[in-house]
Amino acid sequence: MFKITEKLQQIGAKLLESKEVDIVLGYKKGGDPYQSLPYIATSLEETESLVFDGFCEKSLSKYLLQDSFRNKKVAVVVKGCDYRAIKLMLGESRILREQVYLIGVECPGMIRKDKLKKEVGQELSEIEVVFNQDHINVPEGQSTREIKYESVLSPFCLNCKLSIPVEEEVDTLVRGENIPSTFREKSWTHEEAFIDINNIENMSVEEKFEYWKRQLNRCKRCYSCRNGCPVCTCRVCIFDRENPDYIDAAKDQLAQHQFYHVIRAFHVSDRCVGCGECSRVCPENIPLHLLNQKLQRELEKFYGSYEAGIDELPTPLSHARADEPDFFGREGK
Amino acid sequence: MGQIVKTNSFSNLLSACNHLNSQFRTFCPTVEDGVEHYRPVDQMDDKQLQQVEAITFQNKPPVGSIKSFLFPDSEVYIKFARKGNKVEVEGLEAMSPQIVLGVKPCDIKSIELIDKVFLSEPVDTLYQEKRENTLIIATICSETGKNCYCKEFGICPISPSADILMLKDSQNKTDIYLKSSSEKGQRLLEQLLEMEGFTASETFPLPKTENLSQRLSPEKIQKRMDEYFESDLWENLAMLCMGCGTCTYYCPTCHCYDIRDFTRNEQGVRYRTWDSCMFSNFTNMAGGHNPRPSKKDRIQNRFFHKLNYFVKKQGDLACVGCGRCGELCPVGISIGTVLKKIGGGLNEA
Repeated sequence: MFKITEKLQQIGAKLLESKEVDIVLGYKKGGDPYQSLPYIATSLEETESLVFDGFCEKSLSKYLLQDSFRNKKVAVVVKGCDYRAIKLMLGESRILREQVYLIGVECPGMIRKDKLKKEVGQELSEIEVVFNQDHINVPEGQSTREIKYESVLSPFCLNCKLSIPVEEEVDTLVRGENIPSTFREKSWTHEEAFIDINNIENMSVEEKFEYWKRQLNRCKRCYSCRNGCPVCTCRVCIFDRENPDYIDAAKDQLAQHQFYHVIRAFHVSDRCVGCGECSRVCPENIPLHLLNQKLQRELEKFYGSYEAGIDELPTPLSHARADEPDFFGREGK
Repeated sequence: MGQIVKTNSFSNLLSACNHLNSQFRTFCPTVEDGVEHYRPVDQMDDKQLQQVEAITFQNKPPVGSIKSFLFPDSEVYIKFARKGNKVEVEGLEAMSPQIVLGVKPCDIKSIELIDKVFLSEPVDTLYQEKRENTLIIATICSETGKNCYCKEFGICPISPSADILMLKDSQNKTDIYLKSSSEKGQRLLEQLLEMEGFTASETFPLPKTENLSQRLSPEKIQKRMDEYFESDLWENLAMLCMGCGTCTYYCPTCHCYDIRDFTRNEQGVRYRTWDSCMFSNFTNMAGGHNPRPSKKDRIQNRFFHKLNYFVKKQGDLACVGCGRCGELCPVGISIGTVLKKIGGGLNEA
């Protein structure tokens, strides 16, 4: 689909052959047809497994911070949101530009498997789903049914601010063909793409508490939301410290879960690139992105619009100005 | 033992469980916000109650495993407080009995494996108490699930051993049969027989036992792992692994824990809580040394524990092929990934 795969394989092979890079970090198909997984190609043969489709939702940029990638020249496949994360890392001197070769791809938007499954109404592995330009064909008995592409797309992608990495700043940009565009022609506002957060904002305080209590009580503190987030990049995380007084390891304490999740959301609030990975990786289906979205909304009220990884650094909360709004200090004094 | 009881609908069984609420708390698999978990029957809404039957009889286990009932993610076991010059310590009240209904063959096998660790000397009394007070009603999978490797691990999807085995009549699709295989189970069935809608049965519609010729040999896998100790495989897996604890927390056979105190002012509790060998502070020592400093060391240890060390110590592979790790891992690393890589794969080893 979208003819990006073939071009990626050629680029990967060329880069490895000319020894311009040591490894190509991209995607390959998983065991499930509706699954694409991170993949490292180190030989010409391995580049034949590289793919790019609507299921390559994992962010690859975070891998660049690992020690095992640091001593290598890495070519990495980046979607718009991954590029935004890399721009933050570059701006904060976490990676060196000459260490990476950026293969930008025109992103078609990522499909949420749970949404697709809901629309299809059965296990995805049991049927063949055909992707067309702006819709998906699903067999239904003898005939086929059309599902609109936008109805299975991740809401993050509907609201995407940068679907194509900036051409001048990547080393190669791969354009796709037949990229579904209908959902982009209509410009989705934040309110339209994220229906859930509006619903939550309309709840009473008690309802909100009950909602989050139910969600957060399922948390097992596996930290996949932290580890999967491309902008959660501290060298030592406060939650990895040995026996800190401020957090308890007990996994059945709501207060501790609240503490963890609020801190996590705050720490990435002005850096969020809107990839949606936190909610996607959560094994308990906790809608963590809602916390990020809410904070972004609030930040926008105070600091104006800021898009991390698109607008220039510094991010609103990483510096202070004398004329900044003061929420706590002078009020009522 | 071996009493068989029949009832003509699954909802009879659920209402019977509700009726016995004063003696047992019953947990069944259902869906909450899109995730399949065991939840107490008395706290389910109508929508959740309707989903119980379908999830109980589907061909895969729920996301949450049985282990949380025997080895909870966190459990307090001592409370202490300072009173003047003394410290007062109190234990906790005895737990009340519980029923877990709809446990799949893979999860039943995982209990057997964890028993080997916790019930051998010195016995883990916290686990033992829960084991004794939990009545397990198993059910079967009519065929192997898509992500499941149970047959490779020698688990027959149609004959689990538990206190009670529950089957659905394959002909009329509504009758439920229950057969006891322990005293606990027998006692429950006797109670059920006194209730309306339950009758004794002579027959038990157990399907034919499946052929388990695909079974992996633990000794062979263990030897293969030994040969792969120095392999690049671990570094390659570590490069893609995100280092979260999802695989360990959702694995029904992972059983590592940490013990900590939580104190505030003059009082506190001592609790044990799941810990994950995928986290760097799992092996951090008091003096600051960490014997498994890199992700490669940790991922290697995790797979060696399952496929090598456990075989050497307990004589079995510490995996039941439930498929949860592969399904939940954000980057798709599963036990199958390693088994295929170490050669012999799932079919020839």
